Amino acid sequence: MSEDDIKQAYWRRIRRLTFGMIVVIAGLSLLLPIFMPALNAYRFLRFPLGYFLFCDASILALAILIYGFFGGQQRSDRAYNMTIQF
Amino acid sequence: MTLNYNTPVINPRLGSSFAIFASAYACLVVMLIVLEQLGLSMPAIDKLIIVTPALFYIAIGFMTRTTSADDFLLAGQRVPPFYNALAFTSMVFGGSILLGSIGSLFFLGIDAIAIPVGCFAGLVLTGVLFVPHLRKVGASTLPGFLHLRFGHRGLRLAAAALTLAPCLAVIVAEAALGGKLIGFFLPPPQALGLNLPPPAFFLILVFASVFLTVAFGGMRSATWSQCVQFVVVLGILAPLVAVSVIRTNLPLPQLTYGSQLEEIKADELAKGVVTISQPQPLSEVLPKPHAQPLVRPAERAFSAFRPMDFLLLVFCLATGVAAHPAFLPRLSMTPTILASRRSLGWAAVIAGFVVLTIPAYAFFTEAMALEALVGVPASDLPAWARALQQVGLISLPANPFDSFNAATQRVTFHRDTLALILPVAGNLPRVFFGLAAASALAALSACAAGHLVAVANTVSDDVYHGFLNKAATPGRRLMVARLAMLLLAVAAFIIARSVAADPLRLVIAAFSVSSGTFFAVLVLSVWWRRLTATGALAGLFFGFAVTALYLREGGAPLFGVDALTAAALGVPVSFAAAILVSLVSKAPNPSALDAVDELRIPAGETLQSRMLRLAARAKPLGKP
Repeated sequence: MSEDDIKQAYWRRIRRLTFGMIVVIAGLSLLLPIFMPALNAYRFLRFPLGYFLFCDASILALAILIYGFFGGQQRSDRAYNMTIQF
Repeated sequence: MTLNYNTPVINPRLGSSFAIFASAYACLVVMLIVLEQLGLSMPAIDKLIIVTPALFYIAIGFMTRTTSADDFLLAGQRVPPFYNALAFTSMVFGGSILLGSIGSLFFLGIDAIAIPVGCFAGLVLTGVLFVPHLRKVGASTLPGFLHLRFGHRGLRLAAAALTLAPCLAVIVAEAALGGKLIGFFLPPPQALGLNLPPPAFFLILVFASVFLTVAFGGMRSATWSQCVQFVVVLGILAPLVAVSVIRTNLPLPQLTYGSQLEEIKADELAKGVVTISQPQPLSEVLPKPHAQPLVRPAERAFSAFRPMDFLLLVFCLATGVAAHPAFLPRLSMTPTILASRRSLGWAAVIAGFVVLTIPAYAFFTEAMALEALVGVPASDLPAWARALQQVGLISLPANPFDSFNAATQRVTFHRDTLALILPVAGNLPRVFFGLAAASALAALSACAAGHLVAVANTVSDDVYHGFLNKAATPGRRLMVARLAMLLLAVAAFIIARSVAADPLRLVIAAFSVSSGTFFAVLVLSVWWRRLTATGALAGLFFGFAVTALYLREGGAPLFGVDALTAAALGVPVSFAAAILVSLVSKAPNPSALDAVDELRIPAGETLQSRMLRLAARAKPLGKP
């Protein structure tokens, strides 16, 4: 593989990772609230469920997922030998 | 990650300096609690708790003074991840967002959670879309990034001009809020023998403290003072945890405020508080800064915002935070790309904690206010209600001795000072009242200082050094930056004095404008190779024009989009303009293609240092 091919392959992998994460963010912050009124009929820890999912659970999920996302980027860096950074 | 000669060395004693300031603040609070018991007067306590932290920030700003352009622009690129995250979070959740969302949650119920969650989503979006790429470019400002990416001076200048609008709006909002808050604590200017109107005097104090914090060391001062300011912001937890222990027996308000929501619901039913439960357009329904009663249900979803307004507000805040010109330099301040990623990871954790705390604070306050103030006969009002009324935080009905109007009694609250009610309502020592205000002031000075430096750096680095005087010495550039800060502070003071703007609306509008202007161009400049400089220019211009015009007109809504969420129209227009103009213009030149290929891979040197190296090589040798 030439150097350009390596860069291309690396970029494809990063792009897939990023696209997945964008879908998750959009789902949690733009799709979830639509179901808030319906979910609020149930309660969890004395919170309305829809609100709890949007406020607490989605924040927890994003904070964990962003570590996974950066971990994925670090793994791609290592796999494609991109770790020498100035 | 590999260490090499280029990696900036992090100050090994950073942790101890930081701990010294944090414990000094904790000591101050504890000492004031003791002195209060010993009989120190209330005005003295108020003054001490408000003024001492501000002196801390100025001292830190002075201690981190610098004469190096690298320090002034990017804090020397040696901010460790955790500290960078602290500074980033304290800037995103500035005073207006913090107090504005507490107030909105109080008046509108759970719908207003869109504001803090939107900001949080923006922070995560920054991490996902821009982190390694902007750090790889290594630019100190957003126009500088576009310059290194496209090598186009017109684009750089246009971006620099467009940076001004959202940043100035945020500075004005934060300062207006700060002036209002310290008015409760400090004596009027007449007491000092100054013949000034009080609002002007308090605004001058806010601007002076913010300017002095950052004037000596630019971004370096801003970074380290923002870190300490975040510790002071966390002080708002003290009254909240105390009240949570009193009301729920658990010191975890973030997890226990569900019970408060249930109590609020029961009280609403019993006292017939709810009179409006129909959603209204966003710009009307957002609570205004003046006094108003509680009229909306706390727990019904979409009873205040229409579903579409809710989603567009989240979208605008998220994209606005992700593309805000004052936030993006934060990504370049870490020593390495790995540190930049870690910093955003920390920022997500810290900001998540802040977002969970905001509704807890609002709903604990609302539960206490509903229980003890609303619909209670005047004779049964608790002592702290009178105390609150004396300070001017709430207004009780005209005749306090009339116990017949119990059923219709409507207490009114002020949106921006709601955070100060909780310590008084919990019967906590007076220090906690000042503590809550000190944390709001810390949040707003962190945000204002960050924006002041960001704009000053844009003026000095992009306009002066990049355009007017390319051979300027670092000393000259720093002088220009300081001068720009001063002028900007004066301009913001004049605007804040002449326009009675609502801080919360102003900040949301500012995020909307930065989203509409910059988001599409930033995303495309990383993710689309074909984008040309002309296309980027068109994207910036049309995005800004559509967003700003729609915000300004606000009259007949297009597609049902509210004026405050104008970016929902601006972003698509900006994308379309950038893509169309790029496709019809000439293919991008090889150096732009090279730049985009470079910024996509993390390995190698930053574009900024490569440019400096090449420029140094191109200089004629032999000159001293």
